Amino acid sequence: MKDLRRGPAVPLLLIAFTLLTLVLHEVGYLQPAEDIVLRIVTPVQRWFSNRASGIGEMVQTLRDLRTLRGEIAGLRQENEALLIENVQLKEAEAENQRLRVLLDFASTNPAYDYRGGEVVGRVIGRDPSAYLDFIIIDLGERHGVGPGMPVVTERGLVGRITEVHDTSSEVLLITDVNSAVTALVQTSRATGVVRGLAGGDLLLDQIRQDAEVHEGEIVITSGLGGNLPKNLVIGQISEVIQRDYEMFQQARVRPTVDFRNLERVLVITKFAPYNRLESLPGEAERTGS
Amino acid sequence: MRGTARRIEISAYLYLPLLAVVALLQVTLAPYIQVLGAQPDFMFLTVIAWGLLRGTRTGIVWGFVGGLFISFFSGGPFGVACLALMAVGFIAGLGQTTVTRGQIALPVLTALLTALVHGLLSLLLLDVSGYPVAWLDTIARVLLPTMVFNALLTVPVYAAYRRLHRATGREELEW
Repeated sequence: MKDLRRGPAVPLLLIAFTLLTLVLHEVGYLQPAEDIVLRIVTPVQRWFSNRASGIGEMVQTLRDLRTLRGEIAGLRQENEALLIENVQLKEAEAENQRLRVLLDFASTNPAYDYRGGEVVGRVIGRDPSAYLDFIIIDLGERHGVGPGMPVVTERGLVGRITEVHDTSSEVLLITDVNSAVTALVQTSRATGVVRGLAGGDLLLDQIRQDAEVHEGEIVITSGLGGNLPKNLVIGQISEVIQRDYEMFQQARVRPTVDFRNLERVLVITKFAPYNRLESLPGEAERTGS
Repeated sequence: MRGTARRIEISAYLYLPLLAVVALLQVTLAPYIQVLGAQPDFMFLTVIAWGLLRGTRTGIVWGFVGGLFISFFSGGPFGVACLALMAVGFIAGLGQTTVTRGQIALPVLTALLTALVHGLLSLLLLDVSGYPVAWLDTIARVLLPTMVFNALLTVPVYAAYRRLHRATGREELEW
């Protein structure tokens, strides 16, 4: 304690300065300074990230050796189940096509409603806080990336861009507690909202009590709200939580994306938002689309 | 005087690159070292170790500078890390005069206590800033494992910084 006898002015000054910067950041006045700093830091960060990923791969390899045997057996079983499911899905898709023709839905792409714009980026860091799930990618304003753009991999939805700097961006992962994604269960079409849980899990919340939801079902984005394309895979239901005295059901969802080993991601820069009204019969004529 | 090691006087401002490197390691390397959902917090360990070795004032300053670097890389509200790490530096600095050579119990206990304070303060600041915080879930699944993991890492980290402390003179922070 002896060095505090010099007076508390410096620590108090630092606390006041920190609070000031917190406010200035929230209103955006610090953006130019942050851009300059990050423009200098990003190449260094990328250098560190290259080395760190090498070390990370070594550590991961050691871990994987122990679990590979079990995984191979499990994957073989899963592959057989997926082959059967694929056949069923193709039949369902064919029936869906016939129904769409009958009802005269306007649909240009049955799989995804985005086209044209995507940029591949590299993950160069993760949020240093244990309570936030963000990643930092090496794409920024100069690459045509903007806030709100969805970020995906071939395995599914990763998150959305929240803050953009000149050469880097922050992506809020769907596993963050601040994230909320409108979703639906692929088979039963039950709708809900996928939220991040502490520890990296996902929860499909606000499912109607009368909806049929089962373990193993795939959860995809619904596209409602227009913030995300529809039909992006989010994960697979691992547990259904239903209590009669509650208004809604819930389900734990295991994400298909491996967030611990994210290296490359795709930013969707352009997509056709899902407009539920336009897809109703007669509405397409009325709106002129 | 016996046993006086030759000390190298190093300008306090050369510690800035050290903290910058620690912050970079935190965002690039730490995510790969996860055990049961907990990952190491290199900046937190650095501030604790240096606070224990150099006192409250230095601990607070290192917490501020380290938190500043961390805030640049964080998607959360700017300054949360500064405030939380300054609290860590202050609490760690309170134990400065009681640390003796070879003692590891105090650094570990300090890490446990300050990790709890650091975690609760961070969650409180996030909550106040508008982030939805699931308190019980986060404490059980993130805070507690992180506390234990970082307390165990305090031993080697503190030992490394103690060598640096002995090799360098006591820095004078000029304002």
